[in-house]
Amino acid sequence: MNKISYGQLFTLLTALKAFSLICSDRPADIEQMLGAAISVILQMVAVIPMLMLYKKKNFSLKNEMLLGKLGKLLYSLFFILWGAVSLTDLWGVTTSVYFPVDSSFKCAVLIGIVCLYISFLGISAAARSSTVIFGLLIFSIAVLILGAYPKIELSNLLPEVSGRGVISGAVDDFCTSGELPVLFILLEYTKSSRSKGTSLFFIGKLVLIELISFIEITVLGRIMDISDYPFFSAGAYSQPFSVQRADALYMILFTMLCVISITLLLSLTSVLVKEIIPGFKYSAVLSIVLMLSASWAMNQYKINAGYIYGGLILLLAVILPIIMLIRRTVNEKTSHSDSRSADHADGLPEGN
Amino acid sequence: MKISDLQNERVTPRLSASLKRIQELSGGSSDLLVNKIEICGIKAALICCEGMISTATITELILHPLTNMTLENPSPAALFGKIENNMLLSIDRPVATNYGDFFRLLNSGFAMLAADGMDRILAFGVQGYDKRGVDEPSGENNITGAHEGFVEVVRTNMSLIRRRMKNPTLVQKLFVIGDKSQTDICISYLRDRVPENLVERVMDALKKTDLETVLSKGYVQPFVESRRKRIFESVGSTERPDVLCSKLLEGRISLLIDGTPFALYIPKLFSDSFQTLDDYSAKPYFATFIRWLKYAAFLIAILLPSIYTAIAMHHPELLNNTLLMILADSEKNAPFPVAAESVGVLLMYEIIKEAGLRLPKAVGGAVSIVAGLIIGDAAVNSGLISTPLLTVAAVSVISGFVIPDLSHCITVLRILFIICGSLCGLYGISLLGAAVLANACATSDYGYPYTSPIAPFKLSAMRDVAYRQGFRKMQNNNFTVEELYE
Repeated sequence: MNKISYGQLFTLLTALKAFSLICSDRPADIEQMLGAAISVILQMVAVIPMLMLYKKKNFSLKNEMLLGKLGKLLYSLFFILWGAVSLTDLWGVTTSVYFPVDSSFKCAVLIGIVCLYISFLGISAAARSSTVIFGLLIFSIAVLILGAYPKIELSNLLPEVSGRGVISGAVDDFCTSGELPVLFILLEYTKSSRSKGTSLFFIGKLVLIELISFIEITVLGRIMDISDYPFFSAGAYSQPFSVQRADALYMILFTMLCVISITLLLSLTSVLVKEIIPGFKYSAVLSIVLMLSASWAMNQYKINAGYIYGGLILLLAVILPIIMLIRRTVNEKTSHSDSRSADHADGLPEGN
Repeated sequence: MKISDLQNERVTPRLSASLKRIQELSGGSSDLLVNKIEICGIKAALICCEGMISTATITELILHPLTNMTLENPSPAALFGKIENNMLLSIDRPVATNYGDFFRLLNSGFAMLAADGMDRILAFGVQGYDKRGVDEPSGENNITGAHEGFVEVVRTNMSLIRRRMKNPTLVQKLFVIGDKSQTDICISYLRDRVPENLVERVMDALKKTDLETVLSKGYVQPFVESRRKRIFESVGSTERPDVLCSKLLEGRISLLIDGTPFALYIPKLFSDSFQTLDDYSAKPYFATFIRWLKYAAFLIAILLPSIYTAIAMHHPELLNNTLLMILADSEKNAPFPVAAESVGVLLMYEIIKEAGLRLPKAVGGAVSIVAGLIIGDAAVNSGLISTPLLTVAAVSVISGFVIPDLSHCITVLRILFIICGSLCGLYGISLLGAAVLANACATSDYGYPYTSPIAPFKLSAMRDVAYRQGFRKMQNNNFTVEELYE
């Protein structure tokens, strides 16, 4: 797998988060904005162990994964699950927002084919593409702001403060932060400045969440409660150009972000599967088939296990890295004291 | 018979046997001229290829001095010793010791002097074949730059570069590729600018070529660029010596191929296709404006017909009422679906273009008139094609002319995008766009990503991509492509 730069780490993760944000069907409010901000700050603290782990001398996740192949299987299953969640988001949006394909499943299969192709090109191709798509994201948000500016009603921000909304906002944000386990694996393939890339991502994520939520709340107001996908509704309400509706731009942005998100998850799963079963050639094909199947099942049986996702994220992005950090530190100390006692033994006079 | 086999066959010292072998190897070719002479009593022969040498030069610089030559103790060794050490008969004086080298030099326009008793043949560079003069390039016109383009003769092209780069750090090395054609190829680079290992890696790639002939740049290009299936070319080409010098200055390598008026340069970046020499003659603000105009033209050339098709077929709600009415009004009478119309018009344009390119100029003009009348007037009047679609196709085609370097990709991608747009609307266009973007981003030769400095993003290199920096600032940067290495 090719290496990526810290900037590409930032753009890849931001694309992943941006996709889940624009596909979010939860109505936002000021308490949730606050909760999300707290969640992001806590996440920044929570990823410190994984950053410390990568700062350890000669640390390689490939060789030092907790539980070995089982650990890798856990992460790959999570990525398949998260890919399926992303595809489910795609299904949801395609049924709500007009997409000219007969069925949503066909939409998902088409995107699966494109993601499969890009994953064959390598993670560096996806990482470089994410730089361009990040530019498109900035441009789209600028257009959204331009269109939203005359429609903004600050009075819509006034909350009915209960306090409970802040906590649920924080928990909701954490449960949709599938990018945290991705970050843990992706750090292995980041060339340098891992901390810089990670910090940039969290800053970007915070800005993105707050900005999109602010626009959704102030532009939509109470309409948000009946809106399926607030981002698309906000886009539809705020049109900056009289000749051409800007929805086309959001549709393109949505597709591009979806492609990058699923490609990233597919590439990582494929790499992990190859590490679990060396020599297996069809890891990417198998992964996308599993993602599509899981997504179909989620849609068919209306599965939405938000809190289970949260638990998995907590396990894979916080608990496992902490255990690995402790194990590594203990091992280092043990080997250090062993070498010291060996040195000490070497220095002792030989017995008669 | 391979030239490499002949390189193992040494020249015979006996002149008669040597001449017999030469006649044998040449198959009695009529353009092989063998002039037997005696120089100071030693039997010799001046061999040359008809039409490849300058008769005036050979008479004045070789024949006169040789026939008037005197030797105190005549012997073949003394004869060659005097010619080599005391007489400057020509500037370029290689020596052939085997028949492989002999024929390569002979067929490159050298006059070959063989003497009885000598196991080597002296060569004199007296080339005088007919060639095209240095002229304005046909494909890369500019207003303010030099009006000189490369020609078919590699040595002339080398001199065109040397005239612009008088610094000794400019290295130009000649070597031969093609067993049958024995084509001279010149690799050029600035020793103090070229990234480490790039020359060796390009040379290694060239050594792996096992071609029989090299008749155009397209023969060599696949051997020096990525083998993987990529849409965009990662090896650039230019007809202009001044453009090539600017590339050399950025640490790139150039390949001049004898017989073609195009030079290749490695590595090529996506942004190179949008840069012209005129950009550097205009004020930075205007050059930046033109640069962005070209980026927009590229997107229009590829996407406009497909977006039109997608909106007309799947997303009419994206247009405002006035535009929607115009569109609906014009399309309701058209007998074909919008997608078929779009593809048909563009294919017809490609057919007309091809016809115009291959035909004699006089007939080519007539084709343009007939095509213009049929498509532009009759097709619209008869209602076969709607006017807005024709306008969209024309705008797209004209936008493509702004970036001639990418014309091949634009032509094919435009049609593919129309097909995707007609099948899946903007969703299809976005999907194909993502695939094309990833393909471009995956293109990387010798460690230089094709899409750099955009992706991966390098702020320092954006001075000639996002905008054109002024020369006062640009002159101190000493930018080389090494900054983009990954």
